[in-house]
Amino acid sequence: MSGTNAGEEKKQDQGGAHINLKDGNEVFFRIKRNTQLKKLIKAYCDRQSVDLNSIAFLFDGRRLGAEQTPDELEMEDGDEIDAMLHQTGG
Amino acid sequence: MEENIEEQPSAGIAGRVRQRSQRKRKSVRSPYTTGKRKTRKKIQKEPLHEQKDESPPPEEEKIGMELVVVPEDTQITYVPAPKFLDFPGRNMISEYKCSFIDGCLGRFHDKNDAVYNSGNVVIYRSQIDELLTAEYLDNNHVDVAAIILSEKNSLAPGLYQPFLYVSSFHWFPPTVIQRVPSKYRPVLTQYRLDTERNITGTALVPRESGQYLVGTEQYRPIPMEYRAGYYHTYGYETIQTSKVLLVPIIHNGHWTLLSGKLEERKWDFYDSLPKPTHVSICSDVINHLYQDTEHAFDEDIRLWPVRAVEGVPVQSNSVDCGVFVCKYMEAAIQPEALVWPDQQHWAANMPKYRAELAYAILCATIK
Repeated sequence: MSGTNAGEEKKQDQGGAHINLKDGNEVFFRIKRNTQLKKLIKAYCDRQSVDLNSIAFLFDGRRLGAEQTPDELEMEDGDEIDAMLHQTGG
Repeated sequence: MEENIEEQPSAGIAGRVRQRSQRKRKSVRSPYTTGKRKTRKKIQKEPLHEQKDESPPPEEEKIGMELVVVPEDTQITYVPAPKFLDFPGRNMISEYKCSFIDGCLGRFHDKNDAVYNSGNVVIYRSQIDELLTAEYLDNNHVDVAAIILSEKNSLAPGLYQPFLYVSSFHWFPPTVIQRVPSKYRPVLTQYRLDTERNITGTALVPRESGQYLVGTEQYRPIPMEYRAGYYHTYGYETIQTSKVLLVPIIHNGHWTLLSGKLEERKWDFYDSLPKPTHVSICSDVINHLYQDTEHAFDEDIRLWPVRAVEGVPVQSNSVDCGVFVCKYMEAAIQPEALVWPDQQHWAANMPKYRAELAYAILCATIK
């Protein structure tokens, strides 16, 4: 489960969690434990200037729900989220 | 006078010719002409690498420093989607279905509204729009089409042959999935199954830790959970009871379908833009599937012949191959093989199929 934490541990403010978002490049995000993850997703997509709906975010292999919070997912400091671009074809 | 002489060569014909030859020298890159230059470059690169190796801490710091603080008051902007969409298939489906779709589009009027959500497959409103209008389909569309096929089959057993679906997300090239974090490795060996979807299957292949990730270079697997969201039972017993294996492939922006006929021990390949180059990807996919499912099959699936199905309806534009793959999937699991010459109307009916798939997705949502 998420207990095996491969991410780098970092000192953090109380109530904050470092989320390590991977799309090949590592980006660290700091988000409060009770903040909905869609805000993180939004921040990521804005940074990468990609459409919100063209990426799947996986945590522990499960797709993130936009309304979920790090607390609900029992995320730990330094946990990793994978970002995967959907593939389209014609 | 001396100065003039020095300047002249660069301004006069001789100078231009000399410059041109220099330009040429730069542009020529044959190994014979610029051999020296290449070696020079290599020498330049090597010390750079060494430097990096010597000092990894600053590099790590650099990555670590890239910290984005997500403000709590981030506003998720409302992206309005048209409440009415004049999709091409409007006149090809029944009035009831049409008004149902219209009603749903009115309800989900934000492009980021999640219309359908099952396991790891999410269809947003914007993807419904893509489906209804003539646009590319992505892996979510094809996955949901397979889910709908399986739901139909569970409602009316015997409608289709029992089949096993392997999502294309499974095969995404490493450009998309850069690497699977090491912490997934034990998970991969466990093959945790999604209980929400009542998946009753047994674990597929217990493997030694880390072995899974070796795979072929071309494709890398992703955690099983992603797939478990819409896998039926994926294990030895299921494979024994399945007759058809559906493996949609997306490669270079083109959808094709690889379908394993488990009883006949062969692979059928459906391609709506038939080209020999499209078939060539199959061996990679089959090899990977074999490695992934090592003991689930009684025999070596790599030895089965791959045959491109001839005479299948083909697309008449450059956007419909995803819909064709959905239709091929349905065709591949029919209890009785379709007579292809009778099916040549597909290309003309694509707007209809798109609308029907959208209708089925929206129906599943309302449920």
